[in-house]
Amino acid sequence: MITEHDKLSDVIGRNIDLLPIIHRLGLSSNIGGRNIGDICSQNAADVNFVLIILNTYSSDNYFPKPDDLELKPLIDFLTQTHTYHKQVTIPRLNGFVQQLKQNMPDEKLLLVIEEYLNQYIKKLIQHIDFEEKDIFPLVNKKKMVDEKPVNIKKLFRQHTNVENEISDLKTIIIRHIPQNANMDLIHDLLHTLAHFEKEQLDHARFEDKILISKLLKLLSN
Amino acid sequence: MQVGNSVIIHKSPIIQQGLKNILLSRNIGISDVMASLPDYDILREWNDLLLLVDIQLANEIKNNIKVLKKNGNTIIGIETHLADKDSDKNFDEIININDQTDIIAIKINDYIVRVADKKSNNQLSAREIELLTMVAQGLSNKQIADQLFISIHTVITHRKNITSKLGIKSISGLTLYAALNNMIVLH
Repeated sequence: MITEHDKLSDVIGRNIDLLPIIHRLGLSSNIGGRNIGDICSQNAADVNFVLIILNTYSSDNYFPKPDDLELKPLIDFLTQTHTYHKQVTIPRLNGFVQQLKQNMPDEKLLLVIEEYLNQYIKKLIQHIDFEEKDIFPLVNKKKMVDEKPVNIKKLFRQHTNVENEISDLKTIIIRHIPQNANMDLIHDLLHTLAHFEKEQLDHARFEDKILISKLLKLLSN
Repeated sequence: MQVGNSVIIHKSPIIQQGLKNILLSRNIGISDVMASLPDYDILREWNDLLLLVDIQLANEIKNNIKVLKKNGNTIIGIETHLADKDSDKNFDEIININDQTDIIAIKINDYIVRVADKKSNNQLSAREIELLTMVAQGLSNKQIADQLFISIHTVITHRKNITSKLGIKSISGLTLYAALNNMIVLH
């Protein structure tokens, strides 16, 4: 369990994959040897919120209680995560496929993966737009409107699809690695997919388990 | 037990018969023996075959290489002269008339391994493949049930079995799998 007394550099050293998340929290520069509590107060960040995020992403067994989390910073963080995937993860995945295609333009696996990724990206962007337009603004509403429970059900369903599709893509690539493929690129592609899948799972955990229950509570008051 | 299937394309009856004996001793089936490459309509139907082709037909192979490779065929050139080295990159392997049986075995081994892998990964029944193809074409459970004259419950059971055999959960993933295994064509 990560506490405010841990040095942030040690936390990153143990799990490099936390770095982009720490960056999204606005805490990635001038870390030095300082502990998380100090870094948060220097950057006017909510230390409880930062610890909840870091612990959720570092351990599958850790789960925060909804009451411990403020809605506003959570939604800011989720929105930043969306932006990160749109601006970084998706172009990176596309880049790997294009690089692989340069060496083997006729390879069937790459042609179908490219098509699959295009479709996936369309759906993901639709999903992100739906969350940002239909779900996140509920935070500012005072009362539940009739259609909202339907939207919330839709959110759960979309999450399952979004995660499964990335996990399926990973499985299919592993099983069909072409004989002459550039293995470094395949490894990078799989690594990015695995990281993306893990992030999607944690992201959906926040949204399904915390955001939704807090929203429902807020709107029924 | 038969492993995969092959087509011999060579005009010499001596070579044809020799290759037949070697293939049969390796349990590879022989689906056709011909003197030259057939029309496009026929060869575009070839899937996951081992093609043993006279390297003199390299140009014909080159003209059709895209569809032959796309459909997962392995192409081995048969070289009857000593001088034809580095003849063509479209051949996965070249068997020379002077190669001994053990060398030939090594050269066709890649194909055997690939076919065996495909078989062990893909233990779907004929019915499951039929159903998967329909799922990949975007048909709903109800539409599939109507077309196959089975209940929706049976469709769901088949789908659960397909998912657990392949380890693929989403419809998009199943569609990708079907496209890679030539059950459907992606646009």
